[in-house]
Amino acid sequence: MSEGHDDHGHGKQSFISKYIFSYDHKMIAKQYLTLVMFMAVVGGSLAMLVRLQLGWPGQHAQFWETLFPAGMAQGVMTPEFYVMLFTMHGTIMVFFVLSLGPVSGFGNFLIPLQVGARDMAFPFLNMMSFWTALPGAIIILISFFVEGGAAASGWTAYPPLSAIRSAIPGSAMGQTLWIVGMIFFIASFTMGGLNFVVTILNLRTKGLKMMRLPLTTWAQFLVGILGLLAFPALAAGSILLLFDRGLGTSFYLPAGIFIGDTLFPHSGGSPLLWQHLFWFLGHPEVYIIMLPALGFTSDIISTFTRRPIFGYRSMVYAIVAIAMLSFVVWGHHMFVSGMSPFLGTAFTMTTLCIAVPSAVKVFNWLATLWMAKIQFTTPMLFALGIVSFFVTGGLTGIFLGTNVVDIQLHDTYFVVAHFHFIMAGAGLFGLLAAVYYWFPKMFGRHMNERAGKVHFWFTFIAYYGVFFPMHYLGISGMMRRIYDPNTYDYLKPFQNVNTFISISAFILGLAQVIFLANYFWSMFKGKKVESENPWHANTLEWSTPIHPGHGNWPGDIPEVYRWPYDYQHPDEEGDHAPQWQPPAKVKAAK
Amino acid sequence: MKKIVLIAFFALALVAACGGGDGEEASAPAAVAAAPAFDPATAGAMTGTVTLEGEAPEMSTIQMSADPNCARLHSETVTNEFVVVGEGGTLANAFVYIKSGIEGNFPPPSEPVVLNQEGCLYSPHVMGIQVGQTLQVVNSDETLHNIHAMPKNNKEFNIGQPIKGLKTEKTFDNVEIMVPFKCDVHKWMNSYAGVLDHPYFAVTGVDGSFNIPDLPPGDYVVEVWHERLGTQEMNITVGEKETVEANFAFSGE
Amino acid sequence: MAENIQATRDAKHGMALAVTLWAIMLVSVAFFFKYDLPELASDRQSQDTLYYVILGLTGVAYIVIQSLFAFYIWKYRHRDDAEGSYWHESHKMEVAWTIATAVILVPIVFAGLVIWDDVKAAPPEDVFTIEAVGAQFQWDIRYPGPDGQFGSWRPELYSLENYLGIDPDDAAGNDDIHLINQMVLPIDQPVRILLRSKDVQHAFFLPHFRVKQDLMPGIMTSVWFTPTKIGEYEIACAELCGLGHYRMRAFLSIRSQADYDTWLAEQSQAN
Repeated sequence: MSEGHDDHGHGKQSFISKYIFSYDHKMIAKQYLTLVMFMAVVGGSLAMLVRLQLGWPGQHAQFWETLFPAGMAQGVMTPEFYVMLFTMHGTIMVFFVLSLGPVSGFGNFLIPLQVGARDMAFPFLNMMSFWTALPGAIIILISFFVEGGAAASGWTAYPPLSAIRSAIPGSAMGQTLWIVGMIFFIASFTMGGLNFVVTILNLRTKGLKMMRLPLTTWAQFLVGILGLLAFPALAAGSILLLFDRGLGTSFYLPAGIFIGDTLFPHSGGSPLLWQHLFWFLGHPEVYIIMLPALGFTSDIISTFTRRPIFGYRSMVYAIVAIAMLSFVVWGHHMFVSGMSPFLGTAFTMTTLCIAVPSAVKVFNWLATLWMAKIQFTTPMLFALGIVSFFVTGGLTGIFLGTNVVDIQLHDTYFVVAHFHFIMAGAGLFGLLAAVYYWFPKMFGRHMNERAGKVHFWFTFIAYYGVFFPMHYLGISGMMRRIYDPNTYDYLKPFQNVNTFISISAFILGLAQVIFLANYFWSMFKGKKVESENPWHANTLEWSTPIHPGHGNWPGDIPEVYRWPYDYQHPDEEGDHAPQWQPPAKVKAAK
Repeated sequence: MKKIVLIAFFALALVAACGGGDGEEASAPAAVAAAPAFDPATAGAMTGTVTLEGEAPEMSTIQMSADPNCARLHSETVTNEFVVVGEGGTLANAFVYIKSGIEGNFPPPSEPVVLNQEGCLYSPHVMGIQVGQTLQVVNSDETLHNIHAMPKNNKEFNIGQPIKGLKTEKTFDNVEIMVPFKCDVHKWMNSYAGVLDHPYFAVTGVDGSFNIPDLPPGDYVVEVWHERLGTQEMNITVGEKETVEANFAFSGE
Repeated sequence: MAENIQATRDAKHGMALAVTLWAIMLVSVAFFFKYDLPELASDRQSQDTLYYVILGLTGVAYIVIQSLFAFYIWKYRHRDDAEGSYWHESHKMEVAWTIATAVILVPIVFAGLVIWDDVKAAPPEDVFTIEAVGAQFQWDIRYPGPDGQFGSWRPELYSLENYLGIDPDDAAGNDDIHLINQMVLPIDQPVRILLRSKDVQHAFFLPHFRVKQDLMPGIMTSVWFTPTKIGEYEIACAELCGLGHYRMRAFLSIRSQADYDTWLAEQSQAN
């Protein structure tokens, strides 16, 4: 498969084939990461505007009108603009940042390097997958500029709100573009998933058994499977929604819908169908975002504790279990939807099952720290942050997974807090940890450590400052997606909490400027990497040259002799024995 | 007319919004009336009264208690305005306009038509507006109103005005009888705008009377429209400097 | 050697991280004593009990795990003289904590199922029924009137004067009481609320009563509960329904049976 890509010369390719329509998985990964950073800035800025409104509801400074003439005319944000903001924040962050970054970005970069392949199994498909994701992202961005603005039915796009154009301004052209953008995204992700699975199954180098794969690659393998099985449901669902919007079908629309002064002629559909289709994707999607982050965490923690990851086997079983269970828990998003109460019972049981493998992971990480020699590099700090978020968000999941307790907490800020820790927090910190950790392999330079640490401290503390207090708002009964909680008398006492959250959010947002500056500065001016394995890590990507060419290894692909976690091996010299290092003679003689 | 015009950078960020647009300044002084194709000295007029014969339907009470911010503005019960009848059966809120016979271009006036939301009611309940003329929607209440226009022949819009004092300006591109407005937060609120490409229209007051001045001489079809009672047509001929009287009577229940 | 200097300097970040984790843990737990569920005003005490049980269990887990995590970070920060360890497998421990987690979860799941059955069970026979209809952005509340029967309705009849589309030819509908954003209920009397939506999805949320149920267009859903505290409460919409979602607020008044009867008589009169 990979014979055709042995060309590791640099100057031979044209600019276009090297940087634009590149087949090289490493370049495609960088393209993805650049796109992700841009989308993250957009998505993050939308969140800042949301927090501006919630922190100080009512009149804002006049100058906002110059930025948003209609959305914030006279300095007052309109409610429809607010709904659009959080809808697009969710859409962009979930799909175009936290899925594209850790999966399409780092999955692409790492899988061939970690399995010992010269490229992905299908390099052309890989290139296509980026060039399908990009139009999707552009369409999503264009939707801000159409009549009525971007989609405004939540990232979950529940019909009829998303299906009937007059239901909210964003449901006009904006929602159509949202669907089209999502279909592009899904197509891209499916191509990526196929590549991941095939590459990991077929292109592993000699000696690299599945149970010798780094946990990062294990996670990407499962993510590939999840994407392949789950996303088609959303693709089908979205196309049906498009039909309902444009062709007069009634997949999601029952008889008797009356909006404005119009009685719509649809009949026979059910909005509940969309919820089933959406969450059949939606829940695996959460793990698509989380699993890579958990994989990065395991590998980074192992490297910087100079310890083997504890319970490698149970770690693998845990993520396999989590991935499989993720297909049978979608109903916990629908406990109060009106579906059969029997399903509520079943989904509670399956959902709480996930707590078991999740807890196993946490205990394994704790055991890895035991007797460690922790080096607090920036990627390590972020990885430790993920563990803390995973514990916090995992425990609140028990509340929401229990249907009885979910009745009160459903669609409140408790949910917002929960998923921002377990999914968004782990995903974001995973992405950041991965950037800091693999930056030397991507660019041959280090990111600035000092700036990285400053970035970590602001980000970590502000992240807790933003999202932990949301639990209090949630148990106090504050609903999600409301433009002004002060409308309700019982929520008025909590305005100070909202203001505190908003201030924390602005700190969190500003801290990311440090990261972006560090990233681009270090790309050209960062400290040069002196050896191909600057972290003294064990996984195969660190056996490539400082600047790996297309094809990754100049000579033969190294053979793998061991698992990737031989740190402090009693029979080996030095504190680590990389996967490509043959077993010690002593041991071999025995 | 809503159009998206701006990309804003926010901490290196690009965020987009919708707004701005044509028609905000366009209708200002530039439109010095292109003279109608007749001598103003010869202009006639049309006046008349619209009445309701028979018993007026009883109007139901509006439940202002639905929103405390509305209820506190009214000390007495408020009834719906679907059919408003004055002394002697005169009919208010009927829209009288020249349906056909008018020729020429009539640039829109520069002053806006104001639709005020006050006390959780629309004022006026029925209005006329020219194509291209600015409609200024004002929120005078301390509550959310959304002005939801549901035209058939123009672009739909739906704008939330969350706080008191907000103003939004809109224009219509095409003739339409009538464009309904609704507030989805206060469902009893409804209003209608007749959009015409000429200025020959009027809305009756509580006394049922209307007056359409400066009418060029000629033969016209006049229509009167009422939201519950339907429409009636009449052919009239206006001579030079003549004031034609046209009375309409709807029959009640 | 240079590396060790770096590692020693980094160790300070480890100590700082440990202290930060402890501080976050303490502060975040402390505030759970300040912020609580809204005061309960219905018979759904069991839901709250389970909430507090889970809060207690997860709270202990949170404190133990985060503290231990911080402690390890502190204790095992890089030291030049430290001994390494290759220990990475303990079948017994792994089995133990897997089973322990599962064992802790079983009672939660079991209690949840029992209470869920209670909440979702058929209402008692003396329940009385009213209807709450969601629409952008208003709650239409309907009482069946003295005859105890709701008039039938059809979407074709929706209008500005007939929000609920009640069929004027159905005699049962003549005495129905229709209120906008106002609901009044007697104390200690089980009530069933039928829920339907005229347009998009909404959710009927009574924060003080631990009641939340989506309104799904095309499907009639319902909830039942018993109010247990006299007072004035708010009804919220908890599912995004459009630009006025945050304003889809209604009022619930719980009164004594006598006050309720007086009120109901007045309403019937006015009708």
